[in-house]
Amino acid sequence: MSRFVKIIILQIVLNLAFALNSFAHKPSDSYIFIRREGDSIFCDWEISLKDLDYAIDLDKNNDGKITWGELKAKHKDIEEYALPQFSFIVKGEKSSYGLVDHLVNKHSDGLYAVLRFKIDPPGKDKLPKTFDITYDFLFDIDPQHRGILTIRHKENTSTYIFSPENSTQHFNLNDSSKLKQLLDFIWQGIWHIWIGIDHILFLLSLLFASVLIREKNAWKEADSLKKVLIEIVKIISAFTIAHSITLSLAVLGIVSLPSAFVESVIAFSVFLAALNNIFPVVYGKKWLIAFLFGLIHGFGFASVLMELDLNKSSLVISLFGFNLGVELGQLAIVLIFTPIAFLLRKTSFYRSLILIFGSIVICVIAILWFIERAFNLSFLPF
Amino acid sequence: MKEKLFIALTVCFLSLCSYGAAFIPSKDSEVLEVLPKGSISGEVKRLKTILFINQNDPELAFKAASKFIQIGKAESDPRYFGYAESIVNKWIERDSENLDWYVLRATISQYNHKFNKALKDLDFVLKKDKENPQACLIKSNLLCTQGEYLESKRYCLPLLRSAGEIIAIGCASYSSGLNGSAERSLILLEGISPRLLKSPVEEKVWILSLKADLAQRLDKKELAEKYFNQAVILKPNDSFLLSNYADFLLHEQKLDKVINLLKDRTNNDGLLLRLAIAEKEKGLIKESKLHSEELGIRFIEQKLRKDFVHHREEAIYYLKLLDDPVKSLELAKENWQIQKEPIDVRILLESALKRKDKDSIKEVESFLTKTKLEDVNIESLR
Repeated sequence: MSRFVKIIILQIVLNLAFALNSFAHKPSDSYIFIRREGDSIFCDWEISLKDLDYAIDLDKNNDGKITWGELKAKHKDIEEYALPQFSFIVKGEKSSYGLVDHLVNKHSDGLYAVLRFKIDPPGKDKLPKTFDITYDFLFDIDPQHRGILTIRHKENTSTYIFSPENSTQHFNLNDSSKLKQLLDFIWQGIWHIWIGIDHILFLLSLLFASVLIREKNAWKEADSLKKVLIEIVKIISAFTIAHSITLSLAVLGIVSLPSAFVESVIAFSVFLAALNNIFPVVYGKKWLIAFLFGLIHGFGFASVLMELDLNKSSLVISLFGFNLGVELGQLAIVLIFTPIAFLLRKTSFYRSLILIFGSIVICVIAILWFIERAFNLSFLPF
Repeated sequence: MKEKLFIALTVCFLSLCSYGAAFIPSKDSEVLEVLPKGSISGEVKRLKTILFINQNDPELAFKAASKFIQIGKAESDPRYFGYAESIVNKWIERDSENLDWYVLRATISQYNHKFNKALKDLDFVLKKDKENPQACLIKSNLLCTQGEYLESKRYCLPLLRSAGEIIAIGCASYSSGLNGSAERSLILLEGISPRLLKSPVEEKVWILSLKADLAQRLDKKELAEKYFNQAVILKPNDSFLLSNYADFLLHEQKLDKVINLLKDRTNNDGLLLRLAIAEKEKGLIKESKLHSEELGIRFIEQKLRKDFVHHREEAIYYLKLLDDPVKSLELAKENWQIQKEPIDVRILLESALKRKDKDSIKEVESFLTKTKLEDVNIESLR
């Protein structure tokens, strides 16, 4: 190439040299929304007017402005240019389209032309659950272009990206996944209890003394397993009922509390529960403590669940599954803790090392948590 | 979990708070879109026609691709980079021996933040032509972006022979200026400035930007402002320059100046971010909130593509506009994996200090020790 070209390229390089950061605005995208209405499938395809102008020249009078009149004059051309590059394929056969309307819509980088059409699949099934979509639009003139497809099926909305490397995708809308969803949430619940050390320490602090009886300011071992089990069931049930109530209220959006407040109070509840083992104040009605603070722990669970899924249709499944998972996780802790504590309850190891020293350690951790959470600091590794 | 939260947000965006419902304009004369300035849209049409008529002329194709890159930068519109990339990709297949195509593609990848892809093309070029000036300059710049300040200087030396003294000195002062010799680099650049009289605007603005950056980091505020001003007069529409200038003015609390400079440039996301910060700090709550919400929508639209890389701006957005240091730190850490320019050091350190995140603070400290980076804005944080 000529020297002139060499100079141009050096200028371009310089032009960008001090300008690596290119947060300008988004590259070219088109948006495709597919939804079912009654017994038909409808599609809104939104394409940037700037892209269309580059591809098929919308600005007829060359004044640098695209008017609705100019766009209307090109509607036929847009259909002929765009529609063949979007295929809705059922069992290897392309669907035909019935055009319904031309509209426009606003996006963050300008106005988009909207093609609204009905998808008419080949064969008898007018609402196929499995199909392929091929999207080849604009990739030849802009490899950075993406087609962003949103499918709304029943109450579920899913998004897919089409790129030059990924221009055909397979879809299966069969909902065999209800059970899988439920299992997923149960697992999330179990997992959350197991990694949520604050909940575990709160429960353990309440359970430590459940194998003992407080008499005349001194600890005495409980004589029957039955009494111990009743005590544990009371505590766990109270905790469960309480956190189920607030978890549901929070997820349904009826009540909401600031998360910094919730997390701080949870830390404080751990501190109080452990402190109560060292300086017993409440020992008959520990289920009441479990219930009261269970309400706050429920808000903590809710913040996790709300991060996982906000889908309305699966709300019941997710609430139920997550709650069940939390209970199962708790039950596992109780099942491990109870036999060991019951066997060890007479030893001084249990009473001094586990009950007193253990509670002191928990108190310290809880206070540190409280400071971290209330003052937005971070120094603990967990 | 973050991924799921994002999906939830996206679903909300797509289904509930869609950016605007599609509509049919009321009048034919209604202007829907204003294309990039009249002359440019004419230019784009002309280039398209030329390309179509002369499909076998590499030199014309090259000029067209270069022009698209320039338009893309001037308009802050990544679309034009896509158009250029499409031309370059086609010609690399036909004309694979010509290294200029690879340099051009590296320039485009660099702009798109696809640094590894850019490095691959550059290394290919440098293997065949060790002293290729364009490849050397981009590679040096890229290494600076990635925090390899020392290594980057190695690629400036060949420029002395292949591109001339001014470009070689500019390149070397940028590297050294980040590498413990800011004062000396500034003196060096002052020394060559009188020779720039006949240089093209790109070169002048490049050197002025380098000087402004150095002066700013060395706490020579008046000097920095003088250079920024001179550069902006030469290229009033350079969004990268404006964004750096705005950062400087924000740091100096010259909020009115930022607002004046950027109020008509809200098209560019990076500049909108700076404008919203200035408005917030000046107490223009209504304006700032409006712009901040607009930015939020643009982030969501950008992130729908799933190849979003501008975590630097997103981190600043969360820290300065949403007052959410938790999220900001998370993003600043992600950004740190990709780029390590002074502004990236600043945002990581600022978020880490707010969160008292020892690991990140240590990471920044050791980076500063290693590179000997001088920057009063970083010093003032420590």
